[in-house]
Amino acid sequence: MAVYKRGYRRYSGPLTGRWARFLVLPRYAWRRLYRQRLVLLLTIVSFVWPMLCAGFIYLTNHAELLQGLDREFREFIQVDGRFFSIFMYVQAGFAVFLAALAGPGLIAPDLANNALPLYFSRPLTRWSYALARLTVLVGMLSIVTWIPGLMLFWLQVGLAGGSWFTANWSLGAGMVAGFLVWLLILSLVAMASSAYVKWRVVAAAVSLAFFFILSGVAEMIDNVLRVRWGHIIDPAWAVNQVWRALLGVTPTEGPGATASALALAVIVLLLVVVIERKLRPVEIVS
Amino acid sequence: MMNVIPVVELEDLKVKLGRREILHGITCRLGVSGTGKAIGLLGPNGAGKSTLILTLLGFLRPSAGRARILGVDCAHSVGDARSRIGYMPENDSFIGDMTAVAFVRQMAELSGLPSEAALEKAHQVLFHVGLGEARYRELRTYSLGMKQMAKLAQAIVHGPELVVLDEPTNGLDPAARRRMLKLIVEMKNEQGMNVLVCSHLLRDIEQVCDEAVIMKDGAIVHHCDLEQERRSNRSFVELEVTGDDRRLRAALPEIGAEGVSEGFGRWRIVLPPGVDVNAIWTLVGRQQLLVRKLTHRRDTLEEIFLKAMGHLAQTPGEAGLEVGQS
Amino acid sequence: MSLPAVIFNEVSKFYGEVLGVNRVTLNIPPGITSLVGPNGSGKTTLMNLMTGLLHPDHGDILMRGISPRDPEALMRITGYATQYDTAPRWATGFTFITTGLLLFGYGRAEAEEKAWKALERLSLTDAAHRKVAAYSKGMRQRVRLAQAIAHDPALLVLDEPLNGLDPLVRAETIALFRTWANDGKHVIISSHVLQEVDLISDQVVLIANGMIIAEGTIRTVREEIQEHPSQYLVRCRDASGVASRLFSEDHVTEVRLNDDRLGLLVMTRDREQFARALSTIALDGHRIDGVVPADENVDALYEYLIGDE
Repeated sequence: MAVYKRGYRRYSGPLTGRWARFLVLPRYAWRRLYRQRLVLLLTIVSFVWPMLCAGFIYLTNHAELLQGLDREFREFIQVDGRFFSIFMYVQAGFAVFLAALAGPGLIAPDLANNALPLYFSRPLTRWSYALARLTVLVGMLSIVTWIPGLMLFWLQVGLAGGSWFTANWSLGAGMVAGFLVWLLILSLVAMASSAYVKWRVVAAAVSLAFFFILSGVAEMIDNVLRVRWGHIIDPAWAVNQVWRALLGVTPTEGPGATASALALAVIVLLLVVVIERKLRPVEIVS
Repeated sequence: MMNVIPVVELEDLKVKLGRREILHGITCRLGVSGTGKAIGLLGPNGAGKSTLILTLLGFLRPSAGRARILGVDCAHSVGDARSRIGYMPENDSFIGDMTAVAFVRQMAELSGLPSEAALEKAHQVLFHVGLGEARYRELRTYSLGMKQMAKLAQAIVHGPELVVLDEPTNGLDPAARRRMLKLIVEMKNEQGMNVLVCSHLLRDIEQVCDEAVIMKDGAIVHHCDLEQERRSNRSFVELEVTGDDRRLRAALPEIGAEGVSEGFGRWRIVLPPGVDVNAIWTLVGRQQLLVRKLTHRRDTLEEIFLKAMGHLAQTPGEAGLEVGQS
Repeated sequence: MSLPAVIFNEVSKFYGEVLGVNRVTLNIPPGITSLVGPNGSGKTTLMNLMTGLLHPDHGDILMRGISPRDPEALMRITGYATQYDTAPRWATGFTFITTGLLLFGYGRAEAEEKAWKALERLSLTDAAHRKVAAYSKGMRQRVRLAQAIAHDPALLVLDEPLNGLDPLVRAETIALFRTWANDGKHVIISSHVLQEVDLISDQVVLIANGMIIAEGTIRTVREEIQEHPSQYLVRCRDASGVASRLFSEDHVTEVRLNDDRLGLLVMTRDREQFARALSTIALDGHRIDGVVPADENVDALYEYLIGDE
């Protein structure tokens, strides 16, 4: 017979490396994300359009099914830059709502009860914390944007053959790059509103309002000052310009792709600064 | 030759907050790595205690000088320094919608514990601090005392060598305070951890700490070894008697001692070398007095603190030294 | 019955199902009275009942002759400081107190003078014109106290007033309470720091589970608990020798040896006889290095009466 005295003993085993530690936050956040039913639901709904597009691709590659249709119409139904740009447009819309739903739960709980000092008293820098949160959002949004997009692309390649690929590989690359830019902006906006607004519903509203308000202001500038460049401050419009350039579609009237890209870069920078200010482990009150 | 690494080492440390310099060039060595001791950090508000703690954690950078924890520089090797610390902040600090187990587990994993070990330790440490029954409940349902214990749990779950506790007994009711102090003593004695306790309650520090550092206006004004003060200092006696003690003062020189009355039968007596406590019993018996209390104590931490603040020119113990040099 | 008192008569207060306090009867004379009890025991409820912020479901209350159902009269003589950090952050310390005084009906000049005096008493004159938002925790605590005492109330009800204060300010504030109490005022404070309660209180009220467990001066409460023997810690060289001598005494009920064999914990039913016995033992040659009563303080009372919940 033996008596075991088992209480709390200091941990003395091996420690995990930097990457494993970095992944801790995303792992926990991921679990919390998909526990929310709305997020799950919206993600599932976001697959409807890609499936419709897949059907479309199938149709265009099986000409016999289109026998009865007009010749011009048949030319219209091509898998080209325009097709992908429409695909992106719709999915980007879903992404906005998904980011607004998922974003608030990201940073707000940590700030609500002053948990940041507990994080930063561990070997964790502010940047890794922010990056960890960012990767969760970007990851979640990727699932409904460029990942299905790439699948559509490969479906097309599979059905249309290598020649189509050599002619159109830039479409695939452009789509991925274009989506990533949009996801970055969405994620930063969601993080910023989560960092500054405690209540989930309000934070979600703020994330959405960001885009609508900027869009509205852009329209106002254009109409009041009778210019075209007002749209540069509307991130949705600007990113659309960039996509059109990447996908080889005719751009809309107004500032070109480079100007739009620059404007987006400025927005990203501003968001990063705004988020950084909130991620201090200690508030310095003079 | 044994290389002694102090737990906290400051070298002419200067720290600024904004434009104001808060810490004005502090130098000191506290504790010894490898031995489990508790260090008290005391001082009035505005003395720089929080600034010092924030500097040790790497939240603030020194404007001059260095700060080292267990031999590791706090500003240059922040990650390394932080991996050896556990921190319990003064203010409320938790994540409301996580259960205690999930919360402590996440913190443990962030400190480098593998996932399963983290879960195991989370359970262990939550039982240890007395939150066993409540550990599956969300932290926002916890009372103040429970939140303090949860804060302590996350500070020690990864078994750090140095634990920094900022006002650990704040707001705790007497039973919880006693439990907290007991846990601190256990941490240093049984787990071999070093504990830095920052508190306004001098009695808590006296009960728990082996060394104390007193700060004022951004500098260290006193560093005392409480263990030494505690070791029965035979020459200084605190006495409380019942009965008519008016003639006691005059009678003390009979045994070569000197003393001063504090009223209500309380006396502080200094014995000369060579005279021990039996003489007091004899004397008291002769005076037909009964002993209610008799202890050996030089100075209370409160007296040491007041002297460090400049409110006392000398502590009673120092005044007594002139009589019986020890 | 010449001294004004705080009187509770069979007072009960429930919040729906939740218990506040149950059949509380108290008679508190002027002086410093400490309310002691675990969190959730009803201390805050009691204080809210005293200041008329809550009305009891049963029973009546008289605060120095005034009923809390007459708030205008009661609030004139009462100063209340809660434990919550509720000072408005946009105001400066000075304006905060002055505004409060204006609400009492004092003219501006008088209000400012009284506010300044209160700030002086709490040593906040340097920071008086800075915004409360910039105050440290201890300063916010002090400004709330200053606001409570500004109108010279005869009755002070303070919930954990020393929380967060450094030792110097603590001592000054305690001296302030002492002055107040000596003037015949009521200073009712709640506190968790039992050693302090010991030193500063004239009376203690122990409360747990919504009921009053004990009330009175510390010594009388202790004396009333006769069935519990007194405890003493004895430091001595020959512990077993001393222990066997003590066992032969009638009044000694229990003797426990310390792990280090240099001390004893003795329980005795008669303090005086114990002191005599110890004296005899010492003079007989057993060396007694120290003797400390282990339980004539609120800490021990608390542990015995309320315990580790």
